[in-house]
Amino acid sequence: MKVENGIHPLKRFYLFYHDGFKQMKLGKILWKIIFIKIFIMFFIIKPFFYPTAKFKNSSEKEKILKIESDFLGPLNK
Amino acid sequence: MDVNQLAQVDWARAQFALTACFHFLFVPLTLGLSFMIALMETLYYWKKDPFWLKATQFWMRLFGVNFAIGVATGLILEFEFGTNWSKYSWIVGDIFGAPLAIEGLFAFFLEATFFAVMFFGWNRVSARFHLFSTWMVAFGSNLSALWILVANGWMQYPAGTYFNIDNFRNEMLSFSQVLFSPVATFKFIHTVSSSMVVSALFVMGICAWYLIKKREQIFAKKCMVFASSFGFVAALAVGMTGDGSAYWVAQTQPAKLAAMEGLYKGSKGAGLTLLGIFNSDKKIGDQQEAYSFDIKIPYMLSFLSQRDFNAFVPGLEDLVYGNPENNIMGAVEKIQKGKEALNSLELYQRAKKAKDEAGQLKAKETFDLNSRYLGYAYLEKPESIAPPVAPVAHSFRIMVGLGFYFIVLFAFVIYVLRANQLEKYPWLLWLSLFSIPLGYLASQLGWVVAELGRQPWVIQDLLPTAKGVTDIEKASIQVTFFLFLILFSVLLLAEIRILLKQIQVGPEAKH
Repeated sequence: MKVENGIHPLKRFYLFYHDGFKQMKLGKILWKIIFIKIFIMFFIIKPFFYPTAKFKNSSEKEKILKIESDFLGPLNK
Repeated sequence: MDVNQLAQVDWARAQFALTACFHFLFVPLTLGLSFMIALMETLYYWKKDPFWLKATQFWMRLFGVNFAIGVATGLILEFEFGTNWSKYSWIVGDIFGAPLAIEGLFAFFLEATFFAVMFFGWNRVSARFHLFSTWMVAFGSNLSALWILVANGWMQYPAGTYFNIDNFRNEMLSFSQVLFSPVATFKFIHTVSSSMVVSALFVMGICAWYLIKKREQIFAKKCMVFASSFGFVAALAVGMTGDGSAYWVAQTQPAKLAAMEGLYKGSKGAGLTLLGIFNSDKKIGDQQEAYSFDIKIPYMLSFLSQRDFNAFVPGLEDLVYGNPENNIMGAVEKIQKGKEALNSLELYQRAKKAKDEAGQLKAKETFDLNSRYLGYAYLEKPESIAPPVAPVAHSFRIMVGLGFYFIVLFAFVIYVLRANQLEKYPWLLWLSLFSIPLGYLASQLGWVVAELGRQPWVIQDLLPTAKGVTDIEKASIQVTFFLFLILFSVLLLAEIRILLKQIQVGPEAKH
């Protein structure tokens, strides 16, 4: 990698983001909102209200059998 | 309507509709404003006029607020696919997998990479690379939308796939047929152009507010000229792509078109209802009139839907009971064919279990002949093929009316600003300001027409909505429905508050 102005490209990459985040004003509020939202979605809503459904946890064969019985259900009535 | 009487599928639909409508409050501004910002920055790069730098940075700030509040809300839709619509997800899995995976890659690599450069890169990367990054954010977010709309387009018109009777799944035969299906193509262009209109109204309305408050006058007037010109071109494109979309609806989802028009009895040389008072008590097969009063443009519906002034346009009654004279197969016959498909599916499974290869082959032949009507087997009665007519017809009419209003508004604003006569029309500023929510309304109504209009199908003709829902407790869906309602309301209030504060601060502030 080419060293420019005595700064290694990886360090320049790091500084780009570091300085960018540091200089943010409105951005800081927005990032807080994003993190709160993601926390609510992934750590509250998903595990508590969207536990992995029984169907989703089934094996492929079980899923096919379940869908088959659902699809062919009306004929068996 | 008694809320307690709503079935589990109704709650699952309500929750999906709530999430999708909320998500789509943010999407249009992201899609349209990203192009407006890219064009402003291009003007700055080209003319070296610091005005366009100030304009780019101001609108980019509002774009950032909208993006931050809206980001990841679409993921909730994916939770819902897994939990509330797991059977549907199984049946469409292979078709949705490819477009959604590509969407994820585009969203991550294009938007995420260049988004940082767009916001952090001023004075740190070259002007050319910054401009390139801004364009990449615009293309990236619009390409993300493409894949989502391709998936949605397939549900409306399941092209390029077949139903695998061994695993009960739709599998892809041709990726290009899925990607370039005319329904998906028009859906994408129509959505993007309408998003541009929403964004132009947003910019124009905020500029109007500055002018009402006698603030930032040069900035506001110049941005208003830009927004109205951009919006005018986009609004014309919305009209043209809307025509294309409606044409393909007529070819692929005739019941939706009939509902959009409130057309119960088909006719040759059918007229387009321009204005009307719809009779909500009208039922399929009764003797009541669909409209108690209406103004029609003669022959126009036939021309717009079939490109022939004298063509027959089927109404809901033709689609339900059939019309052999005009070669329309009714739902009565389709239900019969659907039952034959389902019966052969069962025979195939029995033959498979009995290792009867000849029986399997015979059953598969019968299934292939009738497979396109499979979903009809689950309909309780032929009339079930009709979507709820009144909300679809009203939503369509309001959306189209607003579309024409936007063209006139943009054109008039351009004229007034070019003639420097804004002082003569102070009401135009208020009209521009109050037109911001109308853009969002038209956009949401478009989705109401698209999604409510395709009922009872979640995949057109193949899977009724009620068959795609997971067997979970209604109470779980009800709880999450209200939880999302609270979360979304808080997020929306946060966005409006931050946006208003940023608008109040004005273009001089730093981000």
